[in-house]
Amino acid sequence: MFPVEFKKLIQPILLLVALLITIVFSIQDLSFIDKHWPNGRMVPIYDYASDWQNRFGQTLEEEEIAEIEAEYFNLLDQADKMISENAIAKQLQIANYEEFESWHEENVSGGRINEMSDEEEEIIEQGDAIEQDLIDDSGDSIVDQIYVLQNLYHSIKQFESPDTFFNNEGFTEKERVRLSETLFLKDSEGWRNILPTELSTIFTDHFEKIHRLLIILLSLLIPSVFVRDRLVGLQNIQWSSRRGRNILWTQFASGMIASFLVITCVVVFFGGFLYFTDFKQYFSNGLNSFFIEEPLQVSFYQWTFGQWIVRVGLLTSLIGMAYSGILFFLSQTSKHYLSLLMKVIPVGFVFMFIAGRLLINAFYLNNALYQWTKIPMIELYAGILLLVISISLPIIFCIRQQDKDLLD
Amino acid sequence: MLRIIPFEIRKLLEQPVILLFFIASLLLNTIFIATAGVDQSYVNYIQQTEAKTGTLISSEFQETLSNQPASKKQQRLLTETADQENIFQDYSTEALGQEMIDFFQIDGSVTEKMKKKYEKLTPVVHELAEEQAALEIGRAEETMNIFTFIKDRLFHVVLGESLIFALLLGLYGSTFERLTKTEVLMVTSKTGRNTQGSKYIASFILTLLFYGMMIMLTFGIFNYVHPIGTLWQTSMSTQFHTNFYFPHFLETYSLEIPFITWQPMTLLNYMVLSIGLGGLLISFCHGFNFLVGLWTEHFFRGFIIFVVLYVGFLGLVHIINQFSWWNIHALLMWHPISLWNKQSYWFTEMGPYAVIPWQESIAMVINLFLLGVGGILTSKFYATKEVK
Repeated sequence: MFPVEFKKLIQPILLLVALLITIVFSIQDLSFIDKHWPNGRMVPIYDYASDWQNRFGQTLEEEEIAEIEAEYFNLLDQADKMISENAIAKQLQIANYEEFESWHEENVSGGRINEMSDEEEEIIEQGDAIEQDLIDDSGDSIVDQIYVLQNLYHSIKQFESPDTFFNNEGFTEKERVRLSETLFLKDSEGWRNILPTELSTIFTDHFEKIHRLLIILLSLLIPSVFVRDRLVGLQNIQWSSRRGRNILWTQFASGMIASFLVITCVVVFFGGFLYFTDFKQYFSNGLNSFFIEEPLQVSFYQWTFGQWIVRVGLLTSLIGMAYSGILFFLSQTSKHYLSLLMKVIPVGFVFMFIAGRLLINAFYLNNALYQWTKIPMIELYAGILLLVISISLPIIFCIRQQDKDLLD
Repeated sequence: MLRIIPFEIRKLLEQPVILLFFIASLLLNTIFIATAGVDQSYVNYIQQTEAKTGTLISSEFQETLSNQPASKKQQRLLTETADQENIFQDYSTEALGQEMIDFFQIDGSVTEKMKKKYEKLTPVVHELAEEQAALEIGRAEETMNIFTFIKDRLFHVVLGESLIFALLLGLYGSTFERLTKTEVLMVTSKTGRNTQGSKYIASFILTLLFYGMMIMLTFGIFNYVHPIGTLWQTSMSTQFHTNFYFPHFLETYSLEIPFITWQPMTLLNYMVLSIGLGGLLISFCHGFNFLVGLWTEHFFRGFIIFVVLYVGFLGLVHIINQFSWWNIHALLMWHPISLWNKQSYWFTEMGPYAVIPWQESIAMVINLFLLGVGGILTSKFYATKEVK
C-alpha cells in the first residue's frame, strides 16, 4: 500500500506551484546572502577579513598583530600628512587626523539636508571635501579604513587578557569558565580566528528563510491529499475493515517520508549553495573571532565554521520534520479544506516564530532562546522536544483511531 | 434572497474552526501586544508632565520642565526635547522630491510625475508649519516606537489575519454546497442559483464582523495593556515620528524623511482612516475570492489559483525592480497586492510607490469598481452555467 499512498502525494500541478514559489522565494529572499552581502559598513570589514585570511591564514598570531598595528599607524601618518596639506583643513585650523575626527564629531550632526540651516550645510560640504581628499593609491577611502582598523584594533586589545574581556559585559560565572576554555586556553585561543562573525548571523538568517520556505512548501504539498480522501468518501471504505484501518499508518509513513524528501532537497540545495560562494574560505576557521560587533557574539563550541553550518542545517531539518508531524495531525482532524487551512495557517506562523528564536545566532550566546534559558545547546534540545511532541500527536491519533466507531 | 441570509450565516457558523481561527488570532495579537516593548513608565511620566508644560515644545516648555522635580526621566525628556525646531518652516517639498528621485534612481516619465506630486505637497507642509505639528511632544523619542508598533505592526497583523479570513471565507462561501452534494440541486432552478447572492452577503457579513471584532478587541487590549492617553491626539507629523524608505535591494541604507500625510492627521484620525481603507481591501479580497470560487467550483483549486496569482505578482514586481522599469512599477502600485504590501505608507506621499496624491484610496475605489464589473460578468456566466 505504501507506493500507492506515496504516489498520491505526487501531484504535478501542486509540484509546479511549489516550484514557482521556490523560484520567487529564492530570487527575492534566498539570493540576498550571495548578491547583496556584504553591504554598507560591512564591506571594508569583510575586505580586511579576506585580506588577512589570505596573508596570515586562519588565525592571527602576535607578530601578525604587530604588523597590523604598524599598518594602522602608517595609515594614520598618511592621513595626518594629507590633512596638513588640505586647504580647507588649513582654513579650519585642523592640523592632523585626530583633530579632524574631533571637529567632525562636534560639528557634523548627521541630520537631513532638507532640514539644515545654510551654515550646517556648509559644514557638511567642508567635511565631505576633506574626506574626498583622504583617498589612498587604489582610490579607497582612508577614513573608512581607519575607522574599521580602529574598531578591530580595539577589539583585539579586549581579547588580549581574559579579565578585560569578561569585565566588559555581564557574563555569568559558568559562561566565563566555559568561554575561558574556548577563547583563551593556550592550545585553542579561539579569539584569534579570522572570521567576520556578522557572517554567522547572516548564515542563520539564510537558514531561517529556508525554514520559512519549507513551511510554505510542506503546507501546500502534504496535508491536502489526506483531506481529499475524506471528502471523496474514501476513508469510510478504508475504515470498514481492520486491514483498511492500518492505512493511517501507511499514510503517516508516506507523509513523513515525502516531507523528509522535500526538506532534504530544499536544505541541501539552498544550504549547499553556500559552498559555492566566496564565504567558503572561512569554512575551516573556528566559530569565535575578534571580529565581533557585540561581546555576546561568542560561542562555547570549538567547531569549525563548516561544522557549525552543517549543525544549523540539521537543526533546520529537525524543525521542518516537527512541522510535518503537526501537518499530518491537522490533516487527519480536518473534515474539509477550510478547516485544514484555518488550522495550518496560524500553526505555520507559530512555527515561523519559533524557528526564528531557535535559528538566529544558533549555538552562539546571543541566541534569543539561550539568553532566555541560559541552557547550553538549548537550540538542539528545543528542536528535539518539538519533534517528539509533533510526532507523538499523530502517533497517538493513529492508535486511537484503530478502535474508533465509523459513525463518529 | 434576504430571507435566507440568516440561514446562510448559521450554516457558515456551524464550522467550529471559524471560532477557533478567531480565538487563535486574538491570542496571537495579545502575545504580540504583551511583547511590544513600550517603555510605559516613561510614557506615563510624559503624560503627567505635559499637563503642566503643554504639548508643544518651546522655551517655556523647557523652562517649566526644568522646574519639575529632578529625575532620570526628567533629564531624558530635557535631552530629547532640547534644540527642537519647527522643521516644516522653510521645508522644501521640491527638494524632498528630488532626494527621493536620486535615492531610488527613478528615471523616465515617472520622474516628472513624482516632481508634480511633491509640488502638490507644499500647501500641506505650510499647514503643518502653521500648526507647529513638528513641535508636538507626543511621547518624545518613545513616540516612534509606539506609532510604528500601532500602525505598522499591530494593525498590519490584524489586517493580515482578516485578509486570510476574507480569502478563505470568500472561497468557502461560493463552494461549500459541494461538501453536502447539494450544489447540483441548487443550480437546477433560477431561485436556487440566486442563493449565491445570499451566500455572498452572508460570508461578507461574517468577514466584516471578524474584522470589526478583531479591531475592537485587539485595540481594546492594547489600550488596556499600554494606556497611551493623549498620544492618540498627537499629530502623525511630529518630528519624533519619521518615515523610512528602503532601496529595493540593499537593506543597510535607508532614507529617513518626516511623516507627511496629504491632510494633517492625529494618530486617531490616521488609524480610523486606515481601518476604513483596510475594510475596503478586505471587501475586495473577499469578493475576488468568492468569484474565484464560482469559476473554479472547488475550494482548494481556488486557493491554489490565488496563491499562484499572489506569488506570480511578487515575482513580477521583483523582476521589474531589478530592471528599474519605473513606468511598469508605477502601474503595478495600483494593484491590491501592492496596497497591502505598502500599508505602512498609506495616506503619506508614499515615495516611489505613488505618482498622485491619495493614490492608495483612489486605487482601492478603482479596484472595487473593477471587481463589480467582474461580479456582473460572473453572474451572467453563472446564470447560464451548464448543470454537470
